[in-house]
Formats: sequence, structure tokens, C-alpha cells
Amino acid sequence: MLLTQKAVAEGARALIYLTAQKADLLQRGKTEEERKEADELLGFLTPIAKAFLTEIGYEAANLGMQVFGGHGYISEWGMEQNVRDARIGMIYEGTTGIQALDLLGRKVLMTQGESLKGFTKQVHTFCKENADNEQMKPFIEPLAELNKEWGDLTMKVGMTAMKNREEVGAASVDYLMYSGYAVFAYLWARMAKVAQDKLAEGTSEELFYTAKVQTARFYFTRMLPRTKAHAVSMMAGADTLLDMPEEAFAL
Amino acid sequence: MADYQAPLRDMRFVLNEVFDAPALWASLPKVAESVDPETADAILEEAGKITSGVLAPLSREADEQGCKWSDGEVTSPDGFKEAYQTIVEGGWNGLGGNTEFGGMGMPKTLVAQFEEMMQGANMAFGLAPMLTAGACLAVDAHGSQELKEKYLPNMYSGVWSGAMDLTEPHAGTDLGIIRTKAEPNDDGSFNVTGTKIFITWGEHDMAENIIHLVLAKLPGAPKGPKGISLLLVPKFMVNDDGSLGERNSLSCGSIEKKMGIKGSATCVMNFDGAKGWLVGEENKGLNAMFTMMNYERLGVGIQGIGAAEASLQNAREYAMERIQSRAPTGAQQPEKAADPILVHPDVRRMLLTMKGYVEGGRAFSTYVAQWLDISKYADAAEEDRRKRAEGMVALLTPVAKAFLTDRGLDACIMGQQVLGGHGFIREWGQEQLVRDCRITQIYEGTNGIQALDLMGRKVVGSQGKLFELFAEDVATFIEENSSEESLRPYLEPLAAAFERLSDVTEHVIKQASDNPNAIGAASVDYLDLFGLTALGYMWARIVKAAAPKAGDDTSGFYSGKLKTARFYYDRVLPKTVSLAEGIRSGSESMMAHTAEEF
Ligand SMILES: Cc1cc2nc3c(=O)[nH]c(=O)nc-3n(C[C@H](O)[C@H](O)[C@H](O)COP(=O)(O)OP(=O)(O)OC[C@H]3O[C@@H](n4cnc5c(N)ncnc54)[C@H](O)[C@@H]3O)c2cc1C
Ligand SMILES: Cc1cc2nc3c(=O)[nH]c(=O)nc-3n(C[C@H](O)[C@H](O)[C@H](O)COP(=O)(O)OP(=O)(O)OC[C@H]3O[C@@H](n4cnc5c(N)ncnc54)[C@H](O)[C@@H]3O)c2cc1C
Repeated sequence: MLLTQKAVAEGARALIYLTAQKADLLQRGKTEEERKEADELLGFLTPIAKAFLTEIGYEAANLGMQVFGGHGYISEWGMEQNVRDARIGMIYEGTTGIQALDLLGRKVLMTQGESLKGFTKQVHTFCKENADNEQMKPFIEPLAELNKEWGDLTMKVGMTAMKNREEVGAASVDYLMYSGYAVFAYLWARMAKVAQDKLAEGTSEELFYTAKVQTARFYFTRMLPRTKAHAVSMMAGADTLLDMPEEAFAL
Repeated sequence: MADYQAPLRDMRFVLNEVFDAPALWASLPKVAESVDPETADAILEEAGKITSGVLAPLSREADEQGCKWSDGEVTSPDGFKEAYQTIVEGGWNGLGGNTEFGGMGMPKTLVAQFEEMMQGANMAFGLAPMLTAGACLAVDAHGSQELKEKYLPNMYSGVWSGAMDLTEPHAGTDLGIIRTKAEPNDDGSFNVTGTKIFITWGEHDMAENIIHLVLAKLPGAPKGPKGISLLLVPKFMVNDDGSLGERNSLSCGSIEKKMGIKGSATCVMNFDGAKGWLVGEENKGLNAMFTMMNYERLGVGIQGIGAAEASLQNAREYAMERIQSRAPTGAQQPEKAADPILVHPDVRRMLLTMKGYVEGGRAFSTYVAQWLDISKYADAAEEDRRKRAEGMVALLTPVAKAFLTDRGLDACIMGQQVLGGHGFIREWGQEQLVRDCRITQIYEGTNGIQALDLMGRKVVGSQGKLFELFAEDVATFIEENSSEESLRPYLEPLAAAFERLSDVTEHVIKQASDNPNAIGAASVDYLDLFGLTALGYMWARIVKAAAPKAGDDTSGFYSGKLKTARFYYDRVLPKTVSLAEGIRSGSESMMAHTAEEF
């Protein structure tokens, strides 16, 4: 429970900074090209940052409460308030469902996948740079694989969506969650890289950096597999969602 | 908020069509004496009326009002006292109770349906009858004849309610370290002294007397769980003629402010040399608790389904009325400013997930209840049948408790999401469902503890033998139905999911032989994997019952079942792939952190 919270909180912080960096570049970028690239990435990352982080943030808040056992349920400790407060995040400023439509429908598919490519290119470069780094192997290998799958899935969803517009809404939340875990994988790999470099150089904060590497490993082994279910689910098609007549929902 | 309607149609479907409960009842002589299909149906009907008509309307206001504590007395929310009286008059407290002492002797398969309605209608209230029934079970199974005669009739009737006093400030999960003491008197009674916390309905104004079942240590008792005894401690002493005597020396010190189930009192109970009597043998208190634990744990799982059902009712009604945006394929109701949100695939995804959990969960809890009935009532001549049922109960109970409450909470949260901003506002009752349901993951053994019980004690502890019982049941179903056309799309993925579960089971049993952390590292994901697969099995059984009737059915009930099953298999069951992979990665990444590194 604690490691999940740690992986969420620290991964989320990294995603927020990454997104904020793009916002800064959009305003203060030196060249038109730099600003344009930042604009695209910002558009791509924003719905993920909003929806994915509020979803897994809520999960983490619930886990924090669970660590307290029965005391977590009692107002005095503040843990249940944290859960109640965190719940609104998934609702206001556009619900998770709406963010997901924005990501898949407007950002990814309307640009013919270009906005995703802007991001996966960076991931690809990072993977190539570290391809020969033995220590990074447990991170780079799954990340590279995921990066490719992400593109493939997007293609497939795009193809079905051209035939049936309802496919976008049928796949969107799973697509967004998948993308969130993928972005986190990239960020955790980057953090692991920095931490490993620091440890190799020698540092007075050995515990801090060791913990980063270990949390990255936890993320990759215990949380990242969630992408598998989202991948299957997003490809299941709209029919299973739309076949049910309105009356049958009430039975 | 939608008015809660007891889901009688689906309960009848599960009982009669999926599981053929009447045949089960007829095969258990003791049950057959008490119930036949007509009686059962009349009970369901009446239960539906009371829960929807009397209990449900009180829930929202009770949440606002809460219980009030004043000078040791607890006042329940408006209407609770009268509603409790209705429950007493109907004899609902003793529905599953021993007929020898005034219970109605109904099987758990039927009682489970009543429990779901009651918990779905009003969980804060429902805890009082639930705890009373639990206390009765313990007294009936382990109490002396004298205790049973003196206490059970009034507890089954509900004139007296029951409370379970286990938890102490420093001891929740680990009851081996409790400090409450029980010192023997010459007349065979004990003086009980200590402080208990979080005692649900430990004090209130709805019943004439409150019978506390208290865990305590006798002088010189061994340390740890093997030195704990169970004592019956009444609020008012009971005279030999059954009338109430003086007040016992116990009192409620305060009640907690909490996240949900606010209509129920969560009490600090102070025992100050209160008089009590041993239930069962000295130092065997935890054993005595185990008998009722299976029932109580299933009961908490059922609370999860109850809340999820209420959430589903709320959300689907809202989704049909709320108009917002147009369907992706163009306006469906052009005369209106927008289409109902039910047209949006994502809203359907949420509702169907809820339906998959609620209806599949109802089948699963009934399936577990069926094993409980066999283990309790099977004839002496049928020792094998009983043994097998006992094994099933042991294996499946932690799954029922934790999986159904985890998915119950998911369903409440999804229902809230369907309501958008209105799901966050109290008026609609949806956020209350989330707050109420959240406790079910914590009490009666946290879900983490259930997972350890499943993985450690049951699966690894029996070296896979208990798991084999369940595996056989599923394999038999698959085999028997292999030529069933309607089941074709389901049996293969079910077999695949089951194989995944079996492989992981074997894997963890192997790991556990030389790694003490293997069990705890796998357990929560394992329970989830188990539950998702078991619900897959339930959905296949639902299809088997529904498919032959779907063709001629104009109501849409049966064809709806088939569609929900399809959805569950396509979009929910795949989670097992992710879980299996996470479990296989082992404990290394979980145990690497030192305390400072956190
Ligand atoms: C509203 C409410 C009503 C309640 N009603 C009753 C009642 O009627 N009667 C009663 O006796 N009690 C009642 N309880 C108490 C409840 O049963 C306990 O809170 C629960 O058993 C957990 O104990 P704890 O709070 O001490 O948590 P702890 O035992 O301190 O657990 C804290 C966390 O550590 C984990 N943990 C603990 N030990 C282990 C382990 N060995 N391995 C892995 N993880 C572990 C737990 O899973 C949990 O996440 C109630 C509680 C509440 C909040
Ligand atoms: C505490 C709180 C504070 C708020 N603060 C502000 C504020 O300061 N300013 C302000 O203007 N608003 C504020 N809001 C409103 C908030 O932004 C809205 O509640 C939110 O945008 C959702 O709108 P809705 O409630 O009408 O839900 P609805 O739009 O009715 O949505 C209901 C459900 O349907 C889904 N849905 C709707 N349309 C579609 C579609 N086309 N496709 C797929 N799914 C769909 C949604 O995802 C949701 O699950 C606040 C709300 C709350 C609860």
C-alpha cells in the first residue's frame, strides 16, 4: 500500500513538472518551432495529467486510509477527509470521461496520431540513449516495448473509429489510463536513471536515490502490468457497450 | 435520489433459476422442515416491502443527523426506533435462527437476500440486526444450554440486540494482545474490566437490552490468541424469570465522528467489573468466534453488494433522465436540447461494470451461502458432502468478504461519477453510499487480512487442497456444458482465466516454501484475481440459466443478462492478465525499502 502511494505521489510530481515545463516553453520558448512543439506536447499531456493523476491520486488516498485500519474511518485522523476531498478531482474541470474524449478524440486522433508521436519520439530517444546501460535494462526493455504497443494500439483504435464514431467513446477511458501508465513508465525510468547516475558518482543522499530506484522497480513490476488489461479492454469494441437497450439497464 | 427498490426479480432469478435453491433446500431435511418455495417467495416479497418502504426512506436523513451521545445514553436517528420495532414484529432478527429457541430456521441462501435488501436500503440501521444475528450464532453454537434458554429467544425476536466487543485501542487485527480482563466469581460468573473501542451499536435506545459478546483474558491465560475467552455481558441483568434486573456496570464513554454509516453508533465501551458468563470453553474464545465469522464475513460482503445495488439504481435512473451532449452518431432525441447521457459509450461502460459486479456478486454470495447451508445442515449420512462444503466455505469466505466489498466500493464510486458534480453533493445520496460502503473494507478483518487468510491459511496452508475443490467445481461445469451452444463464447475464456489462476496458485505455493514474504506480497492481488475469475464462473452460470429463455422473452431481462455477461468477459475479466503478471514478479520489489527509504 505504501509503495503504491509512493509511486503515485512521486510519479505524479514528475508528470506535473514535465507538463509545467511545456507550459513554460510555450510562453518563453526561444524559437517558434520550440514553442509549437511545446504546445502540442502540452495539449497531449494535459488531459492525462488531469484525469490520470486524479484517478490514481484517489486510489492512493484510499490506500492511505486503509493503512490506518479502523482509525482511518474516524474523522479525527484526517485520513477519511483526504479521501473525501480527493474525490472531487475526478469530477470538476471536466470529468475523467470528458478528459479521455479530449485526449483520444481531439488530441490524438484529430492530429492523426501526431501529438502522440511527439511524445513517443522522446521516449524512443531516451530508450536508445540507454540501450547499452546494463543497469537500466529492467526499465528500458519494457518501456521500449510499451512505447511501440502504444503506437500500435492507437493505430488500431483510430482505424475502428473511422468506421464507427462510437468506438472513440468506447475506448477512451481505457486509452487514457493506459497512456497515464505509459507516461509514468517513462518518468520512472528517467528518475531511475538519474538516481543510478548519482549513486554511481557517489552521493551523501544514498538512501534517497536508492529508494528512487526501488520504487521505480516496484512501479514497473507491480503497477505497469495494469496496461495489459486496459489494452484488451479498449480493443473490445463498442458493441458490448451499445447492444444493451435502455430498458434492460433497469431490469 | 432514486427510491431504493428491492431487486426481487434478480434475487428470484439467482435463487430459482441459476442455483435451483428449492432443490437444495429439499435435499437438506432440517431446512426442508422450515421452508418451501412458496414460503421463501412470500418472505422475499415481504422483505422487499419493509426494506424499500420502511428502512430506505430513513437513510439519507439519518446520515445528516447521526446518533447523539449524552451522559452515557445514545439516541438513534429519527425513525430508527420505530423501524426497529417493525423488524422485531416481523421476526426478521431471527430469520436464520435456531428453531429450538424461537428462530425461524431459514437457510442462508434465503437470509442472504434479505440481508442484501436491508443493507442496500440502510446500512447504518442494518448493522443492528446483523450484529444481533451474529451474536446469536455464537451463543447458539457455543453457549451452555442455560445461556441459550435465557438469552436466545429475546435476541432472535430482537427485543434484545447484540453487540460484538473485540477491538481495543491498541488491538484491532491482532486480538492476541487485548487487555480486557475477566475474573471468576464463586457463582460461575466473571467480572469483566477493560475498554473496548469502535463497538457498533454498543449502546442505543432501540432495544430493551443489549447483549455484549466480549473478548477478554482470564487470570493466568496463555499469551496471544490461545489465551482469549468469549464472555456474554448484558447491559441489564436478566432475572431467572426472564425479567430485566439492575443495570450492569458497563457504559458507553463516547461515540465516534466518522466518514459514513453515521446513523449507527460506534461506541467506546467501558467495562468496570461488569458481570458476564463464559460462552464456550475458557481460552477458546477465538474458536467460538470462528463459527460465526464465516457468516459475518459473507454478511459484510453482502453489504458491499447492497450498497452497489443502491448505487446502480441511482445511477441508471439519473443516466436516463440527465440530458447532456449528443450521441456520437448524432442526435437520438432531437426534440430535446441534448440526449440522455445513457447514449454515451463511457457512461454505459460505468453502468455495465456496476451491473457486472452487482449481479455477478449476488450470484457469488448466493453460491457461497449454498455451501454454508450444506455445511450446516447436511445429513449425518452425507459426511463427504458436508466436508466438501466446509472446505468451500473456508476457501470462499475471505473472497466473498474482500472482493465483494472492494468491487462494491468501485460500484459506488462509479455511480458517483455517472452523476457528475451531483454525485459529490449530498442531496443525491450517492456520495453517502461511497462513505457508507468504505467501512466494509475495514471491519470484520480488513481486506488485507482477508487476502492473507485466503493465500496463507487456506491456499498455501492446505497445499492447494482447498483450491482443488473449487477447481473441480469449475472444471465439472465446463465439461458438462461443453456442447452447450450458448456457452461456447464463454467457456474458453473461462477455462483460460481459470488456468491462469491455477498457474499462479501453484507458483505462489512453490515460492512460499522458501520465501516467507511470498504470501503477503501476492495476497491482495491474488484475492482480486480469484474474485474476478469466480465472477467469470458466475456469469457463465447466469448465461446457462438465461440463454434458453432469451429467445421468447419480451421483457429484456434474459437478453440483458447475456449482454452483461458479454461485457464482463470482454472488458472486466481481462484484468486477470495484469494481476497475474504483477503477482509473478514476486516480493523483491516490495521488501527492498528500508523504513527510512519510505
Ligand atoms: C465504524 C467501525 C465499526 C466497527 N465495529 C466494530 C464492532 O462492532 N466490534 C469490534 O470489535 N470492532 C469493530 N470495529 C473495529 C474493526 O474491526 C477494526 O478497526 C479492524 O479490525 C482493524 O483493526 P485496527 O483498526 O486496529 O487496524 P490495525 O490492525 O492497526 O491495521 C492497520 C493496517 O495494517 C494492516 N495489518 C495489520 N496487521 C497486519 C498483518 N499481520 N499483515 C498484513 N497487514 C496487516 C491492516 O490490514 C490495516 O490496513 C469497527 C471499526 C469501525 C471503524
Ligand atoms: C464541489 C464542486 C465545485 C465546482 N466548482 C465549479 C466552479 O467553480 N465553476 C464552475 O463553473 N463549475 C464548477 N463545478 C461544476 C463541475 O465542473 C461540473 O459538475 C462538471 O463539469 C460535470 O458536469 P455535470 O455535473 O453537469 O455532469 P454531467 O455533464 O451531467 O455528466 C454526468 C456524467 O456523464 C458523463 N458525460 C457527460 N457528457 C458526456 C459525453 N458527451 N460523453 C461521455 N460522457 C459524458 C460525465 O463524464 C459524467 O460521468 C463544481 C462542481 C462541484 C461538485
